[in-house]
Amino acid sequence: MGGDIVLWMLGLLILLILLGTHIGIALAVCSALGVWLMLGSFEAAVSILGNTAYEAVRKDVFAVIPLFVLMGDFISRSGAASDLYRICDRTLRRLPGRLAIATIAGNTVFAAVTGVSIAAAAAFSRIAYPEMNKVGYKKTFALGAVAGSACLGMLIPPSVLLIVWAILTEMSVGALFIAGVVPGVLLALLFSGYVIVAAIHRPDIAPAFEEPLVALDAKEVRSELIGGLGILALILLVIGGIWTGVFTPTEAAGFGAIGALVIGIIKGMRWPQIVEAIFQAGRTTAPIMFLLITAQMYSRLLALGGAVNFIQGLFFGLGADPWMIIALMMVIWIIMGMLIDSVSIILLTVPIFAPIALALGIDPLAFAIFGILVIEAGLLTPPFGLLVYTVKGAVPDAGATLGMIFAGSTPYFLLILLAALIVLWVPSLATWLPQAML
Amino acid sequence: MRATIGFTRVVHLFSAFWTLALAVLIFGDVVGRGVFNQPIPGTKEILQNSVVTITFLQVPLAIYSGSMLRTSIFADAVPPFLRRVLRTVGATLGLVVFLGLIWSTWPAFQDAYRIGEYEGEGSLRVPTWPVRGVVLVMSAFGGWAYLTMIWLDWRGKLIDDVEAPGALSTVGKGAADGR
Repeated sequence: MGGDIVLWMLGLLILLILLGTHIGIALAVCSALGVWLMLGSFEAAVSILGNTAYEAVRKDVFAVIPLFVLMGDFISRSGAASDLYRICDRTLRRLPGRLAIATIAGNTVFAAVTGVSIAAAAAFSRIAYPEMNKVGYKKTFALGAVAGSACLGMLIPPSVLLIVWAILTEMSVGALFIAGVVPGVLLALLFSGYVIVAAIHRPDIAPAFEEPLVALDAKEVRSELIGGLGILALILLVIGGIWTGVFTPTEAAGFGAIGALVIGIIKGMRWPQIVEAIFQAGRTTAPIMFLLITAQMYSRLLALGGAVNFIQGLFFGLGADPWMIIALMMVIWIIMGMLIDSVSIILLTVPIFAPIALALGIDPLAFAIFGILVIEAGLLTPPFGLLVYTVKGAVPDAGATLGMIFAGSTPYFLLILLAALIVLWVPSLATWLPQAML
Repeated sequence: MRATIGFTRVVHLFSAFWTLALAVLIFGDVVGRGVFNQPIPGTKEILQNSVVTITFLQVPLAIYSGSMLRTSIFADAVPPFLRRVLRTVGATLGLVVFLGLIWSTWPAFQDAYRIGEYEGEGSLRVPTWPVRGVVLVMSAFGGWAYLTMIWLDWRGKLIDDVEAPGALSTVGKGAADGR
């Protein structure tokens, strides 16, 4: 009975979301309606709304989301990404496809100081793409590198997706952060490997050249030193602080936001830019937090209807092998990735999928990294690929079409799925570092 | 209308700066504990209550600026009139949710105020009515935002179908700058 109502509400939820209702609103409506139908009490249904609104995010760990977003906004507006890109290019000058690899390396490091991949996609569209275009890289190849490597932002801590996943499954935010490091580096290496192979195989897509991007004069050295050392210090402070147990994630986020503001000011940010960063960080945060509140209403509905057992029963009742269940989850995630944003996907599916994975005997940390990889692959798929649209909106080149970006990021999409399967196959990639936490 | 949106922006900016203040608070707390062996009392309680408050203070601008997360996959495929109808249905549901929030928060707020409900132990007692009050007032504001979005929509005033005029005009253009 309860299970039936939950399934009806899931159907209504999908319908409302497809019709374009704000996802948070759709979640609240379906949860309240479901509780009403199940308990037959309007009062109980409405009080779920009020109670959850007040209680859902009343824990200090939830402060990590606004704080890490703020840190990322300060850093992306400070110009440090530009320094980072030039440092990476200088270091990796000998490699084939050096500008694409510098994009990947820059994104890897940048990911360690920002929590959302959109910021990275926008920044590197403006910084890296024009340089690649200037020296004659094939547009598809250059755009793919920018869009594809921006995905690293969601895997390498601090990442909003990791935080949301940890909160939903009641895992430690710190442990999940640390779990993302090795798979993140692995993914970056896979990306770089692809670029090198592609550039050797077809040198015309990434013409080689010798000179540095910017001559190394005193001004440039100063800028690169501040940007590079600043970001390095921030990474040591935030990720190092969490890993060594000196900071809780909340404390690390607070220090990170302050540190990023200091770097921004040294790099020349002034009052208007600072206000702008703070304003925009709020705009990124509020919809996510509102979703987190309404998603807990939905969790309560799922719990009340015994939905997790019910759906688990459906899954296992198919008599399917574990790998088929995992494959089914992957398909659902990829399809959802074409339609809605990653945070919503996690909020909608993880309360159901995570217990199933646990029942299949998959390590929760490895499953989280696997899931986030698959879900972020959706950021590159048509028609909704969020990163593709971000790159399209940010590149200073009207000749770059959505089709080119989608085509260019396809190899990255496949590599992300490959990395996901590798993590599933070798869970210690995700679990080893958190176990070694001090 | 312009005054409402201006006010929304002020509230949003206020709560956004509040986030920065939390970072300063955490910094002070940790430094105080590490260096002077004296943490700032009540940091945890302030953080908890701030997260709820900040979120609700930012909801109206999220509605006015079209930043609430949604998908436009189906809406993009239908004619403009139908798209407007879909947006109206969505906004009406939003209004209903916030009315439900007001309905259920009002008695809780009254009780909390009347009996002086508080949390925390010892010398540090945080009253709960201010946070409940913010949820209450901002829910009313959120409902109002959805209502006015419907009104603006049918008068053809929305920018790109989702944004109220003025919600982002002075700051906010050219987001996520990489320079």
